[in-house]
Amino acid sequence: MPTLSGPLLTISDLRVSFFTDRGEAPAVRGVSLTIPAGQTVALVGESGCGKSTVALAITRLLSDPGRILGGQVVFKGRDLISLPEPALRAIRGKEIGMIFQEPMTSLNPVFTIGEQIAEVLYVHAGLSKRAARLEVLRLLEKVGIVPAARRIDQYPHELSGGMKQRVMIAMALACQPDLLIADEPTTALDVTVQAQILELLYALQQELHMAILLITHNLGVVAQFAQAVHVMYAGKIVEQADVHSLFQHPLHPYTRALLKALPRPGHRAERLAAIAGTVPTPFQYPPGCAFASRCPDVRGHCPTAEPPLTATDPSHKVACWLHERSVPP
Amino acid sequence: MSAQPRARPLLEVRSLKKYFPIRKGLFSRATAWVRAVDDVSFDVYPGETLGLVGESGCGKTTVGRSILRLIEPTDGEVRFAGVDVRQLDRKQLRWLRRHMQIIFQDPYSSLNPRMTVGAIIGEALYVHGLARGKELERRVQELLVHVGLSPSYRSHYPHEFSGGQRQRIGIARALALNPRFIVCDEPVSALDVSIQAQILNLLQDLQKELGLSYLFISHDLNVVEHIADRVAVMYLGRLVETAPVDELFRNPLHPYTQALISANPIPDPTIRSERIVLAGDVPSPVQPPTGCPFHPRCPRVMDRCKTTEPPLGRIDQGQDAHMVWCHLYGDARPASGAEVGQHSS
Repeated sequence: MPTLSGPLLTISDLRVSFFTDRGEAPAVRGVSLTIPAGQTVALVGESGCGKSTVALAITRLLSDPGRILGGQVVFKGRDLISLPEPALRAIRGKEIGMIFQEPMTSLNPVFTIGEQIAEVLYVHAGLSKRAARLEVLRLLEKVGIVPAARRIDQYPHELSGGMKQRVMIAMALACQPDLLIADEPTTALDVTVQAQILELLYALQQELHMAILLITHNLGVVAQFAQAVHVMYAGKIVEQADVHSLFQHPLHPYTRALLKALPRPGHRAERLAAIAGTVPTPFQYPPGCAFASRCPDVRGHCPTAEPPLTATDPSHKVACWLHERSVPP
Repeated sequence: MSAQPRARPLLEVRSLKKYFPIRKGLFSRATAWVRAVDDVSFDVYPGETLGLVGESGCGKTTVGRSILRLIEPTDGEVRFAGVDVRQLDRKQLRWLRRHMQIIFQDPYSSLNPRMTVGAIIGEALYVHGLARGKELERRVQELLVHVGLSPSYRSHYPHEFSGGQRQRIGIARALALNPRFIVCDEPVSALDVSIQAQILNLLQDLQKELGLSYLFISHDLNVVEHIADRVAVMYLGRLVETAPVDELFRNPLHPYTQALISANPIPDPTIRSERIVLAGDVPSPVQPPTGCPFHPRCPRVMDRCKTTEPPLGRIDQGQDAHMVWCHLYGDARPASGAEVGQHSS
């Protein structure tokens, strides 16, 4: 996508594996993507495709047995993979904010929500106790937790799921980050609450000009909210495009199958086009295309030769032999 | 796919209530009641799928379980094939279970990890004395094939299977006794899109082949629109609207149904729906609001909504009726113009 300001974040050839009793599980196998300033970029895929691992790897929050094996994550000119821990700590929560799927488990149950949001402000903005409390009140109002003066001293268990997610957003946005990583931010919420949270994120994005990396399995949320989309399957990006191209002219057989498998409003077809089989486990990824075993258009060389991610037009890339001019050796 | 109009309902639910006590203190006295299901009435016709939608805590799962008497209803009437389900004693309940089954949401916790797949599927046949020995084995294999699994899986344990395969095992278990009616409680919510489509197709195939009726409970409007013939919408323990599926999605009348449908993100970037964003959260069912339970969040609230319950439509108008419980529509004259009646409370 052409932008004026250039990319805010560039991930190149990121590789992450989990080292388990059963051996090495390659979760992310050479992912590259860019996030332009102020835009919403979606990373979509089904459970286990590695999308959340990408989110954690960006700020190096992976814990054992996960390890980053290679690649670069360049954020405003600095490579976060090689940055010393103290320097990275100054970026996390300040320049890059994060919200997760489970607002229930991401908040500390023994502190009030006011104390938890204020902590971000002590650490990153060096505010005094008094100044921080005033700022927290302002943030709570902004994310729609009202009356803020009463809510600020409540504990997480006194709030509903939607309210807790608002607290997470207030915390993530306390230092006005340039990038917000939102990992399934509305998955645990009801549809009407999901709509509230998405509206809120959209309004705050417009106001603060921040970029959002939206990680989700929900294609409806992607279509309504993102400008660019990356589709992940078995640890790799198989297709990337602007949101209109992706939904109108999907190229990869997996993306096509996914869109056909989706029950759509107003298209009450007799039958959904199910995708046969299941996703291979990371221990048995084939050397070639990981979708080959389920692909309706599979060819002889697909399971053994890996298709490169190539551009079919300036805003559309796909990793599939069907769209390659040259056939593998 | 809908059954003939004027058919007799297979299941009739009238004024179903389930209140859960909140117990406190030394003698565990009930200090308050959670009105999980409050005065719910609907029918399910032979061969049809009734979708029951609503958000978490609205009581939809409690409705499903009360019908089967997996939990005992507080009040109301449930008739299955003309038989009053609430009057059945323990022995007669076993008769009921042969005809009414359930499929659960979580295929991980609803299968006993210590039993083989064969034992899980065959248990009901054995307990009901319908098959033993070789015959039992043959039936189990048949059921596995029926749900798209290999008959050799009967000696495996649940942990060896993926979510989609486990849900197939759950479906085979529900089918074992040749039921006529199955409560499907969020059967695809825990599954990925590609697997969800497989299970939805399987449920539709089985329905056609075996003439099953489903009560399909879900929070996912896209799934319900795809699979249901008629839809009932619940809010805070009550029904707010019921209609044939196309009618409900094309012409939703209740402000809650309208908000719910508009909030559902459409997987098409060219369609930008005008979202009705509701303020606030669902209130507690311990102290439901007076009048219409939706009034504190309703964008079209009027004075009488705060004090007076919306009139209840009578349910005996067949399958095509569109009913709404809302003051906006006067004395509950539904869109279909059918005769509708009185206040029940």
